[in-house]
Amino acid sequence: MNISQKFMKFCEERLIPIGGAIANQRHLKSIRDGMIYTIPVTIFGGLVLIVANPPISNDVQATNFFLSLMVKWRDWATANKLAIQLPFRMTMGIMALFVAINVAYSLAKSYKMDCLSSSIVSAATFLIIAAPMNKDGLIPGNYIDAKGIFTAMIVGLLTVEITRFLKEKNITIRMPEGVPPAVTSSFDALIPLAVNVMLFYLLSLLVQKYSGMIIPQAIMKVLGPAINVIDSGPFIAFAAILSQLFWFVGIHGAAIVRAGILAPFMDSNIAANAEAMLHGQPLPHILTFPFWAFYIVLGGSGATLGLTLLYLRSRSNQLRTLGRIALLPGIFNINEPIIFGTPMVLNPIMLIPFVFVQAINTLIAFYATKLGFIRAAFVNVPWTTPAPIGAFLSTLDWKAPMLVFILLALDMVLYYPFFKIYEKHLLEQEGSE
Amino acid sequence: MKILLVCAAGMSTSLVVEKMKKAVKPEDGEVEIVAVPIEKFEEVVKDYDVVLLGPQIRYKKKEFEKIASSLNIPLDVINPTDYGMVRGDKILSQAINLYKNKKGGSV
Repeated sequence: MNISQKFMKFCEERLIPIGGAIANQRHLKSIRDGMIYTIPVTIFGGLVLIVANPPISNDVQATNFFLSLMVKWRDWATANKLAIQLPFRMTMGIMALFVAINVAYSLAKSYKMDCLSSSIVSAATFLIIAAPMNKDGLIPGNYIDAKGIFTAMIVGLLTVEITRFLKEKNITIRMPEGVPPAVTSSFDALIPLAVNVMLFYLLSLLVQKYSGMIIPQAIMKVLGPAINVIDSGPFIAFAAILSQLFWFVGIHGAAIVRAGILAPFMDSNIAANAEAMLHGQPLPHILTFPFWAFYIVLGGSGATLGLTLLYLRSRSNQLRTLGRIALLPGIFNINEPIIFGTPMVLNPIMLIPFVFVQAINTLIAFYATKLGFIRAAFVNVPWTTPAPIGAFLSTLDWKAPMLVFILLALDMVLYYPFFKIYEKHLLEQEGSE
Repeated sequence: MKILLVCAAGMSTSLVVEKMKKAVKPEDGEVEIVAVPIEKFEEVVKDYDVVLLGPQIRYKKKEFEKIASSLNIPLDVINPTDYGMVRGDKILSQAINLYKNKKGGSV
């Protein structure tokens, strides 16, 4: 067995089971599935933020027709700030509450438990620890926004597990015989609700007494260092490489690494950025889904849009045909034709650029954002938006699409030598046929 | 015959669906082809006669095969090269053969 066969065997035996394990782990999967239901909330919230923050700075004067429209928009947005922001505050601004509802729903569904009851228990439990109502009946909103998302995930999972435990141990209200079953079942939901809410309430009181913080505040303090490590250039580049190693053996690395591991952090980060934008503060995070979709995996996993452009002019029939098939999907960041048609999978010539180009994109885009050349993303835009448009809409920064084009040109240069070697290899084959 | 294609987000398989539809010949009878993301598989699989997975989600094969075989629905992974070149005709015949073999075997 030669080295490359050994490597393939290693991948098949080790990497694929790891991918499967991450993708199928019940709690991670529940978080992921639950977060999918918040996508409309974040996209809608983002649209509201766009309306509230016209992409024009305060010192621009209305010197032509287009600018005068923009200035009108800016003045209107400034004058009606609170009214315009309300749809944001009542959707993305209370996102953690939806997360608590959705995660519990997804986990309950996986256990075939009552989903709606589980969501209600989770929501009530989350609210009692994250947003205790004051004597005037007002619910504080400062920990049911982005800052409460991780707490909401934990509550969503724990309340369902506690309910399941109670069911398994058969802890329930026993009705005397002869009571109609419908009446009995209406009491079934009572014990889980009471136990979960009271348990977490007690815990909350204890945490407040001994730390002076409410639970979500304490959780964010504990998770802070981890969030910062994950939101760093080297870590994201590492994740990008890992994701591509999965792809190299032909399995969906982004579905495992991005959706399986990074997604909760991306979602929490973009919500925090949106909150900061709302309050006119600097955006605290860089790693978001738009950052991944429009800079790192430019044109699809492996950042292959540049390579697709090279294929269009290739002297190899196979690559030229493939380039034509792959161009349109690639513009919308779908590149399975490139991955399986080239193929990139298990292709030793393409291994190096396929695995490392997007790590280079990562580092450049990360530090361009970190050093303030480009604004971070605060609007969630669907990943199938063409990258320059997506980069603009997610940041409302004109320089963001410029960065996309710079990365695209760079990716073409980086792929070029490997493309040439592979093309030569194919031409020899095509010539001999 | 109803064919279900599954991939991570149901995007790239939807490209394949279009090409497969074009490849359907009159003698194949009525063929319905739909692409869905991973999360929808469990919910919809029972309504189909044959299932093909995109090669990029073959780590799901074991899990999905269990569900499909309990419903007596044949399942396989699409040939990666055909998938990459979006060869609708080849993938369609893969689905038809899978279906026929299963039928032959179980009758």
